[in-house]
Amino acid sequence: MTEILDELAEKLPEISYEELQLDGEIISLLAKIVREQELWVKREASIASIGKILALLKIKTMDNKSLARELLDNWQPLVDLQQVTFTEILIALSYLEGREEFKLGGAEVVTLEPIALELGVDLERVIREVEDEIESLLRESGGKVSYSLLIGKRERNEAILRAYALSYLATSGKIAIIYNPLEEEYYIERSSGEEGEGEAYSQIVELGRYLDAS
Amino acid sequence: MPARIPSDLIKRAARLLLFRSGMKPGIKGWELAKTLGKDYLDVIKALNERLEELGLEVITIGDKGERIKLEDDKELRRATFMAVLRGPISLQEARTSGWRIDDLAMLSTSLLYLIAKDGSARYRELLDILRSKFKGPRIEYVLGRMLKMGYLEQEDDIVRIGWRSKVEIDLDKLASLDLEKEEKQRVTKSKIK
Repeated sequence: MTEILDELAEKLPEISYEELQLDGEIISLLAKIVREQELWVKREASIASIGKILALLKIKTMDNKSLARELLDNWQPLVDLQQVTFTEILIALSYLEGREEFKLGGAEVVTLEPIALELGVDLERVIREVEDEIESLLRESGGKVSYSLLIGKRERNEAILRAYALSYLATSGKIAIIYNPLEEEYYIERSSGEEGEGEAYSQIVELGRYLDAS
Repeated sequence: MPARIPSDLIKRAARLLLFRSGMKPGIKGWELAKTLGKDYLDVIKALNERLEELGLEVITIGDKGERIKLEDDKELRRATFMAVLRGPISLQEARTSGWRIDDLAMLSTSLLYLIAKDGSARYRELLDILRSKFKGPRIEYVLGRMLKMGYLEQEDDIVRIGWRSKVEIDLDKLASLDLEKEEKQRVTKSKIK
């Protein structure tokens, strides 16, 4: 420290007022940067290493209102408009069907089979989505994709819709579903026809095992 | 200067984004491109300006729930576009939307606990944590509701942070100390003294 003070005493008289002012500004800016860095390090450390302890501490120390506020401060809820879908009407009808008091004087229950396609789901969209996904996966994998990759580990309804899309694409001759008995696995391959339009392909798939695994 | 976007296109984009047509809300970038044309990002940006007045915002989400900026067209084609409320909401607003403070606190606690446990915990363990913090018979019901709404996910006995929490909640901030907020509170307290 004495050495530094001695050096300053020696150098300071040689420095002009303007230079001193500039140096002062530079030192002030450097101090600001050091402070910003300190804050950044603290913040990162709190997220990375101390984050878990902080999370537990918050649970331990905060009351219900503070916990709720903490969530609201970091929350941007999704906005979407829900519509009554055909599936929901079907569920409601099947519920009413099971209740004696709602049955109309011995009238026969209306069968709903002919309107099975009005599911409240845009099937064309699902098919397009699956087709595009297959296209990109086939490009990456060199021409062969596991059926389970496209169907497995999904919600039951989503898996069924995607299985339907695959079935539709196979029937349209756009893809082929191949079974490998050694691996006991189904694979999706490009259709053998030109420009992706081959012959209609038919293959029985045990969908249950993918749904059970999802 | 960006080209003027026809209001018809903006209306169509709003319908695509706001009306749920699948199991989950939102729409893929490639679907928007197909319907709105190659300049779909300009349409979304124009829609975003209109939504700003209503306190809403369009966000884009990657496969793992991470936010993607409205810039990289290639990446955005695979991303999901969704509309969210802009900025944090107050307790009063949350109450008006049907949320009870206890339910919010339970969700907050569940997420904090899962963060502390590297993202997953046994159902029973989480239930015990909630029971140690909250009283009453609603705990299992609320936990079930969080699972159903997608804020939490369950696979066998393991509960994980759900897709909806990843999309809607800034989990990093939730589990960290907001130094600026702390500093403001400290200054306010010292001024009161």
